[in-house]
Amino acid sequence: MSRPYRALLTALLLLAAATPWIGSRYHVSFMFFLCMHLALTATYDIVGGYMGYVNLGHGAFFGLGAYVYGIGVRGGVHPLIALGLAALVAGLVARLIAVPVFRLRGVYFAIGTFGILKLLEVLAVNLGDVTGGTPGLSIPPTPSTLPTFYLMLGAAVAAVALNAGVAGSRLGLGLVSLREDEEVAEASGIDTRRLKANVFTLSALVPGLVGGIYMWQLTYINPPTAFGFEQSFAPVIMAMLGGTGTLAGPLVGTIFLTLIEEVLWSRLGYLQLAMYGAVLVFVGLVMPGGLMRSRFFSRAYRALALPDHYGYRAGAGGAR
Amino acid sequence: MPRAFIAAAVLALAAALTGPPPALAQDAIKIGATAAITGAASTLGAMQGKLYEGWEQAQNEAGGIQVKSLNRKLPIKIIYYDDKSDPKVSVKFYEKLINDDKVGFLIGPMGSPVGFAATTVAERYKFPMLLGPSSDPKIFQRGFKTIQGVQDLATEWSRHYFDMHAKLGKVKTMALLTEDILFSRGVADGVKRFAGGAGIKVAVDEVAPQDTEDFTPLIARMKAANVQLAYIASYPPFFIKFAKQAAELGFTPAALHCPLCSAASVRSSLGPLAELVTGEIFWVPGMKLGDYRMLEAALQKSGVDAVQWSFAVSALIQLEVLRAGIEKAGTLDRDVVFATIRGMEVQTIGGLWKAKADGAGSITPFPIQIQSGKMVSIWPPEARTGEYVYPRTR
Repeated sequence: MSRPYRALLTALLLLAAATPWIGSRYHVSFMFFLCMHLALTATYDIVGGYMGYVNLGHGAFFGLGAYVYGIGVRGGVHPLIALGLAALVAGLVARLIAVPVFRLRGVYFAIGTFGILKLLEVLAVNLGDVTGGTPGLSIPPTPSTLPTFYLMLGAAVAAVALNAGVAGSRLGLGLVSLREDEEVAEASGIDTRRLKANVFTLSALVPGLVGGIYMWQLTYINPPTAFGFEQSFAPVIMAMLGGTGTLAGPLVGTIFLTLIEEVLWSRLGYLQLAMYGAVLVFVGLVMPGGLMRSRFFSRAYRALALPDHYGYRAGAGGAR
Repeated sequence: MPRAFIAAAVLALAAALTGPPPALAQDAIKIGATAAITGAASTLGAMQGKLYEGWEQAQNEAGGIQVKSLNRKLPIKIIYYDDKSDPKVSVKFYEKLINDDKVGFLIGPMGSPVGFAATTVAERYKFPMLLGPSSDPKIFQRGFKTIQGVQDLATEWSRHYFDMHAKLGKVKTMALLTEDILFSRGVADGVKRFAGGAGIKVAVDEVAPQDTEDFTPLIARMKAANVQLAYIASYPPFFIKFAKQAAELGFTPAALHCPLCSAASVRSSLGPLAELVTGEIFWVPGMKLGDYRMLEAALQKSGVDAVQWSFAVSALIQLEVLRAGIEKAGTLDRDVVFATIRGMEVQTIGGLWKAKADGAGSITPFPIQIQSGKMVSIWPPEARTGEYVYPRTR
């Protein structure tokens, strides 16, 4: 990683970490949700960007984590242990469903993973004795939100580091080759089935953790919030807007969309949805490969001397 | 270019952290809320924000709210944000209202799922919140000290309706179909209790998922049981699908009830099928309870149609209670105002309000019936604007 890029990431991290001390509680709340989206988007991009499989069920691991945490805490489990369980269960479920869903490809895979999300929603509704059913699950609130803020920041850092680690490793090369041509990758000696299952499991751990932290912070979850369309589509949209299959894409996409949404939501009142749609359409038309592939960011990217294996110069670009 | 890239990113983040300037008058009573302008609850609350603006304008034109300790009237400023009917967005904006906008008072959001999350902010900050259209009993069972409901619990929703049937004594059997969502489940729990009290036997009692498309087997059961009343505890979209299929299958009970039939979508989608359907509402034009003149002025100024957005009107009851609390307490100390509110009774557009021991309020909606496309309040006698027509099928 080049020095300017490292400096930028360090500055952003320091700014985020200092938010509770230099900003208001609202800024902490804003940064909490920004980190949440970043963690979900960065981990989505491992499967959606590098591997080229659009996973519409990524939000399922978030919801699962939230429920596991809530059920654990209500059962007297220590919050930190419950968080560990949230990540673990999400990983285990991902491992289990990897077998059937990776029999599918392309749009069928996207629909299949979306089906998993909806299946979990139905389970959450019908297993009322455990999940609270339609009315939802609530836990007692904690007096301070500082621990959850730093945990979410940590999860975001872990997600970005995981994304970068995958991108810069042999694993990442394997994923890119799989994305470009699965048959050729297999013929070249890559065990694609194992690789896909491993990466899918890896990408589910952080969302499970994030779901747990979310539940700790908000103290209430219901099926539509846990497994709703937003949880499913937001990481995909953010990654695509930033540029899938690039290291900085999820970061740029998440910051850009969260900021736009925040400014529109708090300033424009009844016009916000129209403006939000207009921004998405504009970016989609002018920068179809995402912000990171736009001329401005391309120049910056080259100037920051990022190596080719982060994806953008190769031009293949994952699922766009 | 790298410098420009870094600067742009840092500036963008800083801009978000700085946020918009409050731009508010200093000598004003600032009241904060979130509203369901978009999202799932917007079918009921999309005009909530515009109504807040209209009420603010009407109240300020009347001089504002009298604050005895300052010996003058102060104008009000209502700051609201769209919470997208999303609990996490609501939490973020209530944090903003308290910390950035520095509001003096908080009123609640639309809907219990959002209310669940928003009240945790109030509790964390020990910042009192008057909670309007969020009435699930579980919200109040958490023992929060900083929230006070305005509406009664969802389980009390149809109290007046079954009081009416108890008095009329015409209905003996009913079917209850509940949409599997938080609000409807609460309402249905109360219905079973009230039906027993009114001497009505619940012959069919079913719960169906929110996205149910085919009601045929449920309607067949209702027909077989020959019920006089079909009570569909649901949001409007669920009820509309049911009512259309019931008509196609020739199921025409003497009374058809949907708690939220006042929503404009019911009349526009069902057309003549909506005729003589009953439901509940907090206010209809012509009801002369509480400060209805202020409400009429607010409706006029906001351009909101009270008939079309009748549920959003109920959010204004929070403001009526808050205003009465400030005037009686004579101070802007919110803890004193809150304590005063808990010990007082207020005549509102939705009837007499007082705090209940369980944390909820006493406001329950009035039964209405759609007659010639208009909503007519049918019970209790003091709120009645027309006669109840029974049976529905002549």
